[in-house]
Amino acid sequence: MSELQQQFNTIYQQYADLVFNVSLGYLQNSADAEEVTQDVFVKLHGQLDNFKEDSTLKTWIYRITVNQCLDFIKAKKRKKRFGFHLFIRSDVNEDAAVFSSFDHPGVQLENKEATQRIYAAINQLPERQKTALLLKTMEGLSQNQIAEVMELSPKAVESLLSRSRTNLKELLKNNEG
Amino acid sequence: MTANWASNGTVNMEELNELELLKQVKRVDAPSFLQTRIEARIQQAAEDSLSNGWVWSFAATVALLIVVNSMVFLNVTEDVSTTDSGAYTITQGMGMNISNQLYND
Repeated sequence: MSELQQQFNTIYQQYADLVFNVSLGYLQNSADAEEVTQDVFVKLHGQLDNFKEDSTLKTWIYRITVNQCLDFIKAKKRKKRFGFHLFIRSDVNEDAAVFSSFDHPGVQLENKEATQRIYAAINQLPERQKTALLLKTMEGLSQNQIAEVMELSPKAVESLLSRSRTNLKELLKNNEG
Repeated sequence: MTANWASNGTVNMEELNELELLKQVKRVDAPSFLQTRIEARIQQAAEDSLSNGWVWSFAATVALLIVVNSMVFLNVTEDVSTTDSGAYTITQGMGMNISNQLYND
């Protein structure tokens, strides 16, 4: 086994769960999360030589995962836009229609409905607000860590988090009514 | 984070509880079959890039052959057509005979 292969296996053992859970938080569907996890590690294998030491490996992996989730959602949006689905159900919110059926194995059955409602509201947030909020609540990252992952200043992250909370509150209220 | 939110003043307790619910979501282990699938995809990608290399080199060879052949063909036809040459135009303009028959036999 080559040195690169060994390095890749170590990284996989260490970060597979992290990538899978971030993808699950983003997509709320285990099949989609599995697909994105595969894409992330295939991409990571191809770019391992290009990894710059100026960011930590964990930050780099978070960044690739978030970007891959966004690409996955965009690809699905493109497919739906040209598909028959939205043509028939034009009353359905396009962003909401992109997400597959809710299938998050980490959600307890008794909380499923309430959690699904929150995720539905989070999915309607602009992508940067959603990323910042999920990294904060689900991954427990600090503002500085989020800033590093998203390549923004900590001030910008603070503003994103504040706006995401306000918008989420509004969306939850609207979805209830 | 909770203190931040409270001091922010824009978030009420209800929303705070909603997001607390998200924190209760348990972390899940990545399925064990994923590693095998990833390894297969990496291997497939390596094979694809190898065969892509062969396709490109074959295409480049064919293109080179076409270019060389057309250049050779153009040179040959240029040599054959004397009526298009500059010398022919000049001799015609000056009313000169370019025939090899010198004595009108």
